[in-house]
Amino acid sequence: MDPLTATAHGQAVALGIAGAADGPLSEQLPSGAEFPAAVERLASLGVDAQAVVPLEVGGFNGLAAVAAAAQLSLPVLDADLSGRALPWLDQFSPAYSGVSMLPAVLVDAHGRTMVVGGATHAAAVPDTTAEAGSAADGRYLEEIVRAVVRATGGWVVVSFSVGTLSEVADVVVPHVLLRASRWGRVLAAAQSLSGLQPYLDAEGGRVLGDGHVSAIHRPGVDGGRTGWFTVSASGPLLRVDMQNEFLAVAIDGSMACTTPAVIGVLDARTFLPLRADQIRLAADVVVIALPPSLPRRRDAYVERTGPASFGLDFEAVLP
Amino acid sequence: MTTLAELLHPPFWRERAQVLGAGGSAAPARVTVSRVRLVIAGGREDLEGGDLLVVFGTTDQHWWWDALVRRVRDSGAAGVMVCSAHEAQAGGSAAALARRLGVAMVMLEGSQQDLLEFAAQARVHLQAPRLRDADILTALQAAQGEQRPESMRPVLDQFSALIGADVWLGVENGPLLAHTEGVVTVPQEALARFDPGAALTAKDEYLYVRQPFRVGKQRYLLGARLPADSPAEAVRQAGRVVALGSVYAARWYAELQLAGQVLGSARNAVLDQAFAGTAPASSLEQRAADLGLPLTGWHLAFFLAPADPVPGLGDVLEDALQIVRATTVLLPRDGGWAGWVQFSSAPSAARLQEVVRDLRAVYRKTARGIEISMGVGRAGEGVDHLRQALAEARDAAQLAATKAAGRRFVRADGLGATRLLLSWTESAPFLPRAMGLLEPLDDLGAEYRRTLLAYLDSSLSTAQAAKVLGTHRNTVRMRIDRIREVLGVDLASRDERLALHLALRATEHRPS
Repeated sequence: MDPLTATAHGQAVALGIAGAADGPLSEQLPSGAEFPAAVERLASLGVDAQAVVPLEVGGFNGLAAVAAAAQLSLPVLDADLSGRALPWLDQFSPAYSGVSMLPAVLVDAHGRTMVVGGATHAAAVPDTTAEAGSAADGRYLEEIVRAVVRATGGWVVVSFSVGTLSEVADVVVPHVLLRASRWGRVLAAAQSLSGLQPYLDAEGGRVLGDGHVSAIHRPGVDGGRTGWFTVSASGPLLRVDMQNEFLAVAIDGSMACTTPAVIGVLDARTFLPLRADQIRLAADVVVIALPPSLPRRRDAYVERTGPASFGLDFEAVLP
Repeated sequence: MTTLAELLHPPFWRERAQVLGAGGSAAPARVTVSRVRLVIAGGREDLEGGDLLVVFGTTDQHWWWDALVRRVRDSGAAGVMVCSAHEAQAGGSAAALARRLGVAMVMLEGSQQDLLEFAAQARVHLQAPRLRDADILTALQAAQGEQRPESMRPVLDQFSALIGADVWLGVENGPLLAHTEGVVTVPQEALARFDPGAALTAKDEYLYVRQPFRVGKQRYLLGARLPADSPAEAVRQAGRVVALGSVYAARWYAELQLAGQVLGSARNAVLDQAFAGTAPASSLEQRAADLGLPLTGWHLAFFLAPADPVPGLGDVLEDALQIVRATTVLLPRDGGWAGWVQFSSAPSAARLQEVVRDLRAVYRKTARGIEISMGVGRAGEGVDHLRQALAEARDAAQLAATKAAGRRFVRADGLGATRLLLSWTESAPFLPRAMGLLEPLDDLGAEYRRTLLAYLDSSLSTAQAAKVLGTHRNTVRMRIDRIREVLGVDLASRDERLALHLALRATEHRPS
């Protein structure tokens, strides 16, 4: 369902998993009942779910929302709340679009359900504007989810309403699902860097560089949450800063591209994308950048998802 | 220019410094450092060319190190220095980038304390030229506190020792006045007027660093002569020495001029008394001897008349007179410089010939830089003859001034009829009448006499007379009107003009 032309009654429900996406999720498999359970619980809170939207198109959550929609026999919006992958709930679009993420329903790996309710009376929330209120709710939900993830063993399903379908175009980052699947096909079929080039040109993307990973500093090693690796060949020296996502690329010390642009690190042999934790010393990689998919609230989006939101002290640079 | 290699030269640092970027251990010799800056990791200071950044602390913004290396490259800064305690941060991608961009990145084995110590020492090292300036000033102050040196030579020797190069001093577009051992001549182009700041590589393949200075109207140059391939830092240091030294030299010459004037007027007074015969001969001789003025014995008088007043000319002449292989006396007199060569006994014709040749050499040397004429009188004995000989020499110099440049040297022996006529005006019957004729002018002041003489000398041209006197035309015209009135003469009359002219000439050098 195209979010920009959606006119159906009812609401769109955001679905996704919060927590560590790689380790715990493969050790503690979902039963498959978690997403329907979450939507059912939301229904009891008065949410009339008529469509599903993924929290984030990046990683596991993009596909998880599609699977959930199939289970629930609901359409999927071609959109998400982040335009990429983001680590914190308060970076997601409802937080700066005046839409509260509360009430939210959390379901853990054991099927236990939690409701995080909204404020019972307006006066208790010190923020006076709707926007500030939604941001505060986002921060609150993020805190709760972090605590729950720690307490319940690795991951938790998060779901909440993002408002009526007729107004959802103001909240979501549109057209990211089809864009992602298109790029999935392009990368699966890519045989060479030159084969990739027409698609990059068409989207305004570019190859930032290629070579082997010559040094790597993993996030968290010295207590800092940001790590980096360098890519060098005969040409310029690339430095990629990363946390769970790739956040910035500097070419010969000059910042060339930063979040929220989509920074992809591809295996130079298979052209399949690598996650930050999959980067290995001496691996041959290609670093590409694509312009971000932008929601209507473009400036707020760049501010919430730019380098500063990851604790990096420089301005956003988009391709 | 100080290089990074110089800063790292002390073994204590050299053994502990590891160059990560910029071509390894050879790099520091190519990197010049003009400033050592302490930088806190994560800072965003604007960098300038030549900055060596000594980085303290760490930052969670790891990218900052790469950005710093890039900024160093882009700004032309000298490089980055960190301590090994922070190697985990700085030694990673930033070091790789430094290698790639050719930026000097020095890892100093040790802690931040060592960095701080290095920075302090490096700063002192960079300040060394200014500390050397302090040495110069101290030396100058010491020199000024002491007795004024007899000549500039020992002072130049001091300057020379400070920079390890020869130092010289000369009149702008004129002769060389003093120089250290190694200098024999300085090419004219080095003595020419120039725009300060630029060093000159002259035809003789030496590099000349010069500083002009003035004493009164006279312009001098203090210069250093360096080998053409001298390093830039040596040239700068020489520039500082001549700049500071010129202040001292200017003062020295000003004092010399003053001393010269005092001595000159004392000598002139004694000479006037001797010529007038008014003082007892015995006391006069003693005073003359005290002032270095030999009045007895044989002499050959000369007179040097510069076209325009040249302050400091006395030094130039004293220096030039070294050529003469006999004792000479020189004193400012009658708007020029009078002097004589002293002989203990009657000189032979050959000896006289030799001395005149020397005097001619003195003229040639001086005339290279200064427009001047020189007259030489006849040799003779005794004070009376000296008076006549000096007057002769002066007349000869005046006659010489009318000749072509470079040939303004006249010996009174060759004057013939001119000399005879001039000497007649000094005869006993003429003088009292001349003085009587001009007596009414005495009330008006000496400048009226000079004005009238200049006016007649310049064939009644007020403009020419004004130029000679250094006054305005109207002043000359006004004075001439006044003189006409007081003397009751008609300057339109040829005879009256001639009479006045002769009278003025005859009485010119006598107290009225």
